[in-house]
Amino acid sequence: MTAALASEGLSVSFGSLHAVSGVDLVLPAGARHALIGPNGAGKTTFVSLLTGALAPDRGRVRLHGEDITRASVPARVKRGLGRTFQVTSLFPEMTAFEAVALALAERDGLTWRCLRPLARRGRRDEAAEILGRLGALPQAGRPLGTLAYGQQRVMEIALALAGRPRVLLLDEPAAGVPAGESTRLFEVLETLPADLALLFIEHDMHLVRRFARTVTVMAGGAVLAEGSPAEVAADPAVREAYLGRRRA
Amino acid sequence: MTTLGPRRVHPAEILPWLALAALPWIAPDHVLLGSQIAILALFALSLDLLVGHAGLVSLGHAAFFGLGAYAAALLALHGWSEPLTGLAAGGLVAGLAAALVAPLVVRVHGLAQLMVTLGLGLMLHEAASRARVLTGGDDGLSGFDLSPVLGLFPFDLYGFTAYGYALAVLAAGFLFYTRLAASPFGYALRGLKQNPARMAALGTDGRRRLIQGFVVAAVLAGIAGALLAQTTQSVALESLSFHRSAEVLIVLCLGGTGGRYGGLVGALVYMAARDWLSALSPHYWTGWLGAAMMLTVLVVPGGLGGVARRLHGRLPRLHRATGTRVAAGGES
Repeated sequence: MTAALASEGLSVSFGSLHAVSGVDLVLPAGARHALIGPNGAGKTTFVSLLTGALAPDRGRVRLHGEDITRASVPARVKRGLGRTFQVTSLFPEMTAFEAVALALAERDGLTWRCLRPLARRGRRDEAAEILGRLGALPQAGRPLGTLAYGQQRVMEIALALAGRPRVLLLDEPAAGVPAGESTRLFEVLETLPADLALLFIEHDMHLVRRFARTVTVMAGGAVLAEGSPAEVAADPAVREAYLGRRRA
Repeated sequence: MTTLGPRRVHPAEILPWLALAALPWIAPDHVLLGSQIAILALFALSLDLLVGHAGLVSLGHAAFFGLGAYAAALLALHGWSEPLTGLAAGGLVAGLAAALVAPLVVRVHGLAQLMVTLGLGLMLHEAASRARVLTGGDDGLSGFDLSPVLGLFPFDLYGFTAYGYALAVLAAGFLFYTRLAASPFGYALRGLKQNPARMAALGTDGRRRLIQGFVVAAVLAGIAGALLAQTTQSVALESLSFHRSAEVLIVLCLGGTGGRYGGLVGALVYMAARDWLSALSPHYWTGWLGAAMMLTVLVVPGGLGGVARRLHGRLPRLHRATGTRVAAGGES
């Protein structure tokens, strides 16, 4: 079966810094894959290469077998590659409801329409359904700029889900979210469609052990280890480079 | 469960429009000024699509106003005197011109965008000034007649028909603006203003949407220009001058951007102030106007339309605040 998302020898350098060098990653449909590594390991840069925000120097990205290495960010989104941002990046003046409805209109390719209201019944119901699933319905009418940080993180996911992605890249979805809420956030992610391929960058090893089925460890821009959470945790190189230092 | 979209049109909003419609009966001497205000308000609405929604800036918006004006005048001079098709032609010519230059304008941002739009405006002004055969150069175009509006209302010497016509076109433009603001397209433009990277992550081709927004704004500006040509039955080179581009930006700053009454309030205040100050102080009125403008932007940074919006929005804002507390309470 073709992988949902695959990178082959993906590399990018900034001057003399090899931010990402030769990373191969295969994400099958239904993956729950964590990307971990110490700060500066190149995780976010790697995700930016996957989404098209950055262009690689070498290597390829394939989405369901199709080479998308040269495709623009919007073109990749249209093919089913969704993402959230590490630093919350929303529309501060739109309400939660409006932002999700806008994302739905964009998914349906209707943002050129200038005479019909955004708030059509079908879209309204679907936006309410997405917000409800994430427990964000109480904030529906509030401008995103006024939401608490944890709620904004949830809205990051809501906007990505509205695009109905087949592959979803989550850059530290629970960063800055209080511990109890971050578990809840991941429980929400667990309820996502089984065939959705999920790749998430996460620092909290408890969350990784609990929710990831496979883990890739990056260090110095390259893949250090890959396997199940238990295998990775037992890998001496990983302990040295990442876990050991964290526990020290 | 929640309001979606820019504030819905409130039934009471019919009142200012009724007042405007009653102007010929209340102050028949002021219908000429009224026409000018309506045209300026429509022009300002078109600029607001750029500034208030798409987050683009322009110091050359008069180029499209002037193109619309010349298109309508030339059409009438060459024997096509039906006003509504003349308006459409003005919008069409402006829109086509905008489609040509828009890719250049949306490529750049901020100061560079100001310079590109300013440069395009100056080039067009110079070209129009040279093309005397077509535009009449410094003399402009005049001496054309228009058929009655809808075949029913002939243009009169006092300007009553002109005023009614201008007001009706403004109202149509206003309704269009209101619908656009609440549409997916309007939201996409504001999304691009607030966070272009996030719009790309939603799958939006931002460049394409901005080009479309620029063209729509130009069509509206062209219609405003055509309206001026038709109601005054003349066009001067001034209609596509830098001065006019700057003036409409001032009007929008006075009235406030991003709200449907900004252009209208701005045009009303600006033209009334100009009229009043020039009568009060024929030699120094522009100085007083400058002082009044500075005072406005310093005291009410969101523009006068913003003040009206805040007053209007008081009740809903209180509701929202209460809702916030309830939501926060529910979670803790």
